[in-house]
Amino acid sequence: MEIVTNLGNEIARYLDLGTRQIQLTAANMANNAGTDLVGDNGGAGDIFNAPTQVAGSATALQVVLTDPDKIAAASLGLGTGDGGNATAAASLATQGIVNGLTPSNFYSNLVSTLGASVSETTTQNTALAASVSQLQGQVNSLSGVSLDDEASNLEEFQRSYQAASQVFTILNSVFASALNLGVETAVA
Amino acid sequence: MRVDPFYVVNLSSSLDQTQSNQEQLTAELSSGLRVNTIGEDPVAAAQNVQLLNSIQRDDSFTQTTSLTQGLLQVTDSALGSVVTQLNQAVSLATQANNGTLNSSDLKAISNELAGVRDEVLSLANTNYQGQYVFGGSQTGTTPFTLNNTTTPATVTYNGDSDINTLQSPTGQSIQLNLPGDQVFTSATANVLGVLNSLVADYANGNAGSGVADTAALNQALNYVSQQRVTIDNSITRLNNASGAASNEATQLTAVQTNLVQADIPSISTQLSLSQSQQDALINVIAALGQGSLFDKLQA
Repeated sequence: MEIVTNLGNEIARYLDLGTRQIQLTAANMANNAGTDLVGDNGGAGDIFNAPTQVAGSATALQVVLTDPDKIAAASLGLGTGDGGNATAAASLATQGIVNGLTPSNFYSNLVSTLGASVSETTTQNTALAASVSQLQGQVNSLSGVSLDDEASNLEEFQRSYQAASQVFTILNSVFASALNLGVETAVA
Repeated sequence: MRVDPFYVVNLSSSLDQTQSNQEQLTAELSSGLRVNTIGEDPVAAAQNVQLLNSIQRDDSFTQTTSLTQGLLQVTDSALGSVVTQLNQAVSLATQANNGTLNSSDLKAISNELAGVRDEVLSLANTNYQGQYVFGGSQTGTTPFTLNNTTTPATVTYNGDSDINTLQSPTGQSIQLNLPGDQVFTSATANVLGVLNSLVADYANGNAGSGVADTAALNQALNYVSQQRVTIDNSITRLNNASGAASNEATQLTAVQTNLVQADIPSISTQLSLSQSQQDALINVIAALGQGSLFDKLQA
């Protein structure tokens, strides 16, 4: 249980709302700081919709730009043929915009941390499963019913019963012999 | 302590384990990948993310360069044609300046020069996929318009002086365009202005300031050739950068393959071992499941 909670916290820490908003905001700001094909000089509109709350944020995360002409590739004030803002947006890839890391380094860190947690959890799971199986064995050895055990007990009881009945047979013949004063008769 | 009477249950859980081990090995064999989930090797998975990222960046740069090469080649061939036209204009002007032609010949030369001027103007308005190549950032507007009502005629530049660059994955900036005002209406060598002046010089049937303007035209011709070098350099640099990017992508792909590819012989051995274990377990279970001492008692 502890492991599951830790894992959950790990993921939540890495995918926290603030972090995602930083990335999306950077991309949106880049698009709003240029000139697009339809002539918006600044304020071309957001590319992404940044979620406002953690719950359901994965679903809320979406591309809101519907018209490719609204991509502001040109720098402010320049004609549509310029590519200055596109270059600036591309350079976001090498800037530390997510917790001081570049997006690709950040994602790579997330994958490695998450992978390590998964691996650790799997190892612990295996160890615990082995422990459970061992304990189960011990419990079974104490409380389980072994057919072989029972069969050998049964045999033992049967032999005891036969031995006891043999004693009665002998006693019977001794008494008969005493009552008939040593004469063997058919009467028992 | 007694022996666990339910050992068959434990044996079957061992059987489950060998089964899942086999499934994992089979998955590695069929995909050829050693790392199928991030938990199997977190460090390799993280490195793989970085490698994929770089490979994708290289690939998208290579795609961009093939589009951009078209643009640069169109620009280069337009400038080449301008040089050819200007050479023709120089020979026409030289002919006009040698003093042997009569006024109607000079007028004819003026007309021919006007034809050259119109040709140069249309080359200056070259477009590539609907985008004017000499308009700076104003690629949607015709860069040059001619006004014939004045003498000499005037040419207006409607573009700007913006220079576009393409950045390679290694951070190299490659110039993609020459603004029209730099090539055709520059203060140092006003190509279209000189042509207009020459047309006006001979239009009246005399040489006018033809000699001085021809000298200016020669200068303009050299200037355009120099400008063309910039574009030629860009084409060379773009080709080199594109080659470097695709080489890098190839190398990174090789690194990625080494990082995550499965060692087939080793997996095959493990798989065979796991199968033997499974067979042994099944045999043990079959032998042990045959009953108890009760069976013997009845006999």
